[in-house]
Amino acid sequence: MTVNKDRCYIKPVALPCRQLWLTAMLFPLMMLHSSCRKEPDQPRPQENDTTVYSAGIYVLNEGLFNQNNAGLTFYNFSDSTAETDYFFNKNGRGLGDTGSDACIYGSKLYMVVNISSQLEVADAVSGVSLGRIPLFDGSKPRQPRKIAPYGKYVFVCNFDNTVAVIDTARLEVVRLIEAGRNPDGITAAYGKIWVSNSGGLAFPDYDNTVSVIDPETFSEVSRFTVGINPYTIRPDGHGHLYLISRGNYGDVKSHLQVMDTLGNLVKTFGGFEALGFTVAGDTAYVYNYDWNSGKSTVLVVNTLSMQLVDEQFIKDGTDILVAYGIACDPVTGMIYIADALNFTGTGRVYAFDKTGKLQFSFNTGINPSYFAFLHRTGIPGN
Amino acid sequence: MRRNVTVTVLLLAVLIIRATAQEPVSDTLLLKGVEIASEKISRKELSSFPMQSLSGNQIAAVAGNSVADALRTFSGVTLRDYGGAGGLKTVMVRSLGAQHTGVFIDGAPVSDIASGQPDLGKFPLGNLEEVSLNVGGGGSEPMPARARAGASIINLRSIRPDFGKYKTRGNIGIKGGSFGLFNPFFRLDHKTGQDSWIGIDVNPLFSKGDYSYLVDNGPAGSETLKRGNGDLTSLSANLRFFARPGDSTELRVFAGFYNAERGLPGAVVFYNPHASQRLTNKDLSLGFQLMSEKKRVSLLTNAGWSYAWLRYLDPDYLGYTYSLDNRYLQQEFYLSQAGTIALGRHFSASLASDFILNTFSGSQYKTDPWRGSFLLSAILAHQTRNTGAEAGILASVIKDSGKNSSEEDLTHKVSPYFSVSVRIADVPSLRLRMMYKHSFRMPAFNELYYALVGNPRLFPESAQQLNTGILGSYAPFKGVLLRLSADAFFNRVHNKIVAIPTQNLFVWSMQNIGEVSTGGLDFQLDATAAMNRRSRISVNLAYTFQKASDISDKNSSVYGNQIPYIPYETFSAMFQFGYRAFSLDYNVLFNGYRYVSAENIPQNLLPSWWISDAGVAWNPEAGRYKYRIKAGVTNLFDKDYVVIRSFPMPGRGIVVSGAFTF
Repeated sequence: MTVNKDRCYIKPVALPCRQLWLTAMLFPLMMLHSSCRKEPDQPRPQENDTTVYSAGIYVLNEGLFNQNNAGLTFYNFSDSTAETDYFFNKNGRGLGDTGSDACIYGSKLYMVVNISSQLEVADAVSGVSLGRIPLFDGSKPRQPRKIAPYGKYVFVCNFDNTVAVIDTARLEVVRLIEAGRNPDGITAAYGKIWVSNSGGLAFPDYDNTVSVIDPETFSEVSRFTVGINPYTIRPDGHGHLYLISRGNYGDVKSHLQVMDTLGNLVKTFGGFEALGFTVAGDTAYVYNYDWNSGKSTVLVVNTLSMQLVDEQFIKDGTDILVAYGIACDPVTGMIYIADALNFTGTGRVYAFDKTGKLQFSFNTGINPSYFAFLHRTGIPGN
Repeated sequence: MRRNVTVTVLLLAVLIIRATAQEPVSDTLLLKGVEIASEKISRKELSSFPMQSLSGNQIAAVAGNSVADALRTFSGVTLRDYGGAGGLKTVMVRSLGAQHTGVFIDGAPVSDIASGQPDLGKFPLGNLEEVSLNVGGGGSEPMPARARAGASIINLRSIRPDFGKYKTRGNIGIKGGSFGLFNPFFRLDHKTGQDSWIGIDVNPLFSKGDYSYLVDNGPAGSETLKRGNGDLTSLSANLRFFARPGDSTELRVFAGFYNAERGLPGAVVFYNPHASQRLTNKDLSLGFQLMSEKKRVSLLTNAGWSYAWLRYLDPDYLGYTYSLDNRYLQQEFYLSQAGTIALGRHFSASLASDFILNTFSGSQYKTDPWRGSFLLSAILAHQTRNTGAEAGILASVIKDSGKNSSEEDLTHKVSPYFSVSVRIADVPSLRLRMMYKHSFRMPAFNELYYALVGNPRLFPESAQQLNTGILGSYAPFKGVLLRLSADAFFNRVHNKIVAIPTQNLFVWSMQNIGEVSTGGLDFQLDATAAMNRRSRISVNLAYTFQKASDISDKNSSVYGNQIPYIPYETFSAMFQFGYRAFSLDYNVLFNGYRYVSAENIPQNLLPSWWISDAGVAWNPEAGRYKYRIKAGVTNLFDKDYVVIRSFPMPGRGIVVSGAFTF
């Protein structure tokens, strides 16, 4: 796969024609993993070979609450090895408590650390920290949860009902935007920032809205109603947004829903429960872990027809114990599924091709959950 | 209905025995302090189950303010301690969960139906004459059925005033030290008649808890910070009335009050030291005890009520626009009748029945539950000079209101107990002992009903304990006494209640899925020597090794691993040296490495620690007056250590106290 070498500063809303096809295909994935966008102020050095390849996979491990063991695992394609505690080894200190999201945007790797209330920023290639941005309201932690890059900024939604806007060059918070209660999902799509307001800390009085933020005016422009306790939200590239509404962990189950950009709830998928998903092209890969049966499932949904097309993505019998995260590498098309195993120790990541056959797997830290793909240009290994 | 009738008949039978047994008590009840102490020793030596105690001088030598600090010197005990005077403290005995250990003060139970074990930091040490721990909790003397129900029992005995020829005795003092500790105390006992007295003690405690700790975050991230929000203000006050209405009968009435307001210092979170949660306790308890003893029949009646109010405040909770403010109220009513009857020269039979009613209400509960328990214990004991044996059963019928169906809400269990001891030599005195006990613990109300976590379908967690050991004592010279015990133990826990995550890591649920098998060894060596009339020396050593394996699931990767927070090895040593009115104490505690979760990997390892406390005291007597001035250093070598992961313990601190007894 090749891309133009000077594709750098493009906002998703104003694309040159020749890149449209690529962007249309990759856009949702970029938003999801933010893995192949350059940051505006740091032009990439000229290189002769313009082949984009996957050099490695970062896996952010949540760790365990109050144990300061959020961790970063780096899988290196050049020697097919995984290094757990990658961040610690590079920086001589830990990430902190409870990793809750990660993305690569431009040359930087962003890691949201929920309980430590920090946004850790590292060089995407070397893993060396470039800065740590505390997210506090006075002395009170804001508890950042999820991140979405857009333009010159990354947008981080916080459990204290705010979205922090962080300048990617200055690495500081420049704005705070009010959202709904306990936002727990964010994505940039269709020129807007979409924030799912979970109200998850107010059990049993959950929130059930999605806030729409205009990234030009830094303000909430509308708020739409979805299912209760909404979580992950991602665009499908066809003018819709897919989201998980987690329900109340009781009689209201966790479902996959589809809304349009006007806020109409287009579809709620019945017949299966869903904890997370990723969108790649016209396909959404949806996983669930059923506590009662102890079984993990990965389903395939066609985003054009909005239909469940395959109840069993994994074709070779690979057994995922506790599906805990999913992502698709836009460059290789591989689907990665994180397995938390017993929640308290080493986790595992499985890599599948599009046909659902296992290609490789590697060990991670505790509770692997979020992925960022390190893409480089040139000849692999240089 | 039929069951209810049976239960009533059984209780009536016991009450009738009580009513017909008002006869003169033998002189054994009139033992003075000294004699009680020597009786204790012999009980320890004869005991067919493991028994440890600290009394008098030894309690005074313990560094710390609460019962928890004394208990951690015992073998087989793992203390959970979140650090500082305000940190919550509970103990696990021989790797069984804290809920398996019962707590009694002067024979009256202290419970916490919400969490399963009361915070042992609540009980000030200064008021106590003896702290003891019985594994198995047998014994032929009358005691409430509940004291036979736990896998092990902590007994706290408060100081009984020695009036001598005076009408009023008292004690006043003050203690102060590092981390903002300020603790005045006061006690007054007054004779109200020939055979009755009334006493009051008041013990306020203030602690800032602002000790330094190390944030251990690699070569680039480590730093030393001050613990925040670790302050405690508490007041413990007790009122006691004692009377001997007849030669054979003793009556005690007790009222206790405990009030505390504290910060919860929170786990050490990298880059985020903020903590603001508060905990407030208001406890009140009333107790009534009637004891009588004659040649053949001894009886003990206990009745009481306790009220415990708890408020948990999190002003920074992000779930609402206002604070998280949860309030809980629990009450307990109990009535217990126990009796022992001698059957010939060598046999005795003990019978006890308890009624207990627990009620609970709390804003985070799905329901306002209550629990009614009826316990009936019967023990047959045989004792000769060379042998001792006890066999007993405990029958329990427990009704929980908050359960889903009538099948689940009634628990009935029969738990057997058996012990034997044989003397095999006289000089040195050697005894072999063996004990088997089955016990269970009910799910605590938090486990059943607490918000998302609670699971009302839980059933009891059962424990079987097997102990076999040898006890010896030897006096090589006059004034020197050596006592040694070595025990091997084996425990098996079925249906262990463990929390596991459900929908995600923040939604946990309690499940009966654990199985634990424990094997261990316990050693204790006590040596006392009175070198001459002026100087004396005593050494107490305790060592435990235990392998507590998670055997829940053969296919699990954690099968056979050591269960969380149980160290393989613990060791404690107390050295005391006295010369005239001076005494010098030096205590050492060792906790071996352990893991914070069932996966025994380096990331889950907590390193072992050694800490030492030292103190020097001057204790002169002048007629009826006694003075005591003590200076001590806690954590003498300023070790950084944790008991619970992410909760650092205090470094070196100084404590100075002065007391005057009149």
